[in-house]
Amino acid sequence: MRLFSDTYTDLKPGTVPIEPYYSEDYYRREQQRVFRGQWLMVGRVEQLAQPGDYFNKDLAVLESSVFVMRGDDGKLRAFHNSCRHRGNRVLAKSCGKLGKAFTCGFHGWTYDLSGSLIRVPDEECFTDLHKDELGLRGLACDTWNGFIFINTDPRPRESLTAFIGKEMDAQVAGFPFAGMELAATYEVELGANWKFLAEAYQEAYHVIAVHKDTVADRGTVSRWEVERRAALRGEAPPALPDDPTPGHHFSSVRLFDRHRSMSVFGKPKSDHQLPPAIDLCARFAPSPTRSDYGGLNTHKDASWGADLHFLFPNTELLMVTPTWYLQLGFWPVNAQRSRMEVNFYRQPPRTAGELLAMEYFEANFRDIVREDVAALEPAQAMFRSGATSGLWLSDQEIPARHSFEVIDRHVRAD
Amino acid sequence: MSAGFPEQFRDLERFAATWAIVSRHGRYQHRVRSTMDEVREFYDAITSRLEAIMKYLNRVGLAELPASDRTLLYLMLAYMEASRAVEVIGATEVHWGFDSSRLKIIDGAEL
Repeated sequence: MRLFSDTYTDLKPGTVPIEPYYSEDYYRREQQRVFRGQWLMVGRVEQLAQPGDYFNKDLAVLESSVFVMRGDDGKLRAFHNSCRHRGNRVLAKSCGKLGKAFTCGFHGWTYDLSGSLIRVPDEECFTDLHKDELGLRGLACDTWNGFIFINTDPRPRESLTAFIGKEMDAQVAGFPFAGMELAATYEVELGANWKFLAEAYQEAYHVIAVHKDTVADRGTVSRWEVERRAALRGEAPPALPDDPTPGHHFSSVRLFDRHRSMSVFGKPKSDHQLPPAIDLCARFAPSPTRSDYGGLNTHKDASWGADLHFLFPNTELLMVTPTWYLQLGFWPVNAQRSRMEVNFYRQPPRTAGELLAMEYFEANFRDIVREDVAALEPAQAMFRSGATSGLWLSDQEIPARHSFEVIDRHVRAD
Repeated sequence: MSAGFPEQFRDLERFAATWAIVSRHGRYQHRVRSTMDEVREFYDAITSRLEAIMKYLNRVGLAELPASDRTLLYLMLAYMEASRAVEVIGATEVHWGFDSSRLKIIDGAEL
């Protein structure tokens, strides 16, 4: 059996320590070193199409509410949502559209679309107040493939381009992110450490148990997608009945300095009869052609099923087809609590058939996501009991190990 | 819910009050809270008319579908949800899942 750890020999075998998954002290260091001063994905440019468009993001890990806004000059800017007068939240709604200026509801301080303070009621009653020094406190803001990133450091140590890196950029180059719309958002808040949650989306080992009815050895979407893609290419479906590699294993793993990519198998059953609703998907889903597969299966795995791209520290892209993808954000609430946000983006459906096929993928993921996180609270509840001294990870879970090691490296950095 | 139901599918209108649900959250909650018999009755009724329904709904682009077809379209969205229980899981609920009421589903693009 081929082992990924034969390639990535510097990753320590055995267990990872359990204390980082509940320690308040460790979490405080994560806040400082893993989240502050790092690039964090918070949204998409389509959310802010026009000058004055903004959205708010409550980020407990930064102990802040941050908003991103498109200015009159078309530029995107990010600010802490806090009036420089007495700290009040300036923009109360989660998103919206502003005119030329906006005003704090507490005492009426007014800012323009570049965040500058332009009006202070009763200004003459203040002493030594200089409006030009009291613009909203800014964060760095930049975009990659239409994804908006922020950085609490207004002058980051590295550019977003350098942070993403050439290797990760090449993984998804050519994927049609720009043509998609947000179909739905799924949110879950749960009593589990954020790393533990994120790791559940960086190993496929759990498929054999927790997904035994929905993914493992069933008429799954990925399986018919694989057959369909082969048919579109005029090829026979990849027949792998003799391949001993289990379908829940990764077909390939790529570990970069901080980020990582992994691909999963999509093993077709040659005698597989599609039930009516899945058959409806197969017939009516948008039909990409071979040339549309830019940014997918860049590693050219045989019998490829899906790609998972994890961007340090807390974002993942799950990509199966050129017609939709998922973006997942794993946000700490505190040391033992986190919030997951799953955004489902799709090519806008042109027909009822395309809409229904997309709906099936979403419905599929509603079930899968509830299974994915089912074990996390029960496990977390036992982490301080002394029953477990370390968390075991197999070679197949090497992306989860890499995830922990990269975070731990930052936490321990001088 | 917009009024109207296509004449040739009148036999399915009896499901509209319970299954023609506009939001994803509503459709998902309805599936997991229904009995398997209720889900199967709905699923079987739609499956038996599937070819005709798809031919009808796909006759024009999604944007050109008249308001009077909306109820049938929402029924079909619920069918995709219900099919999970019948075709894949064999139960209305997954065998072991995070509390469904704690999964918040927020609709994005409008129909």
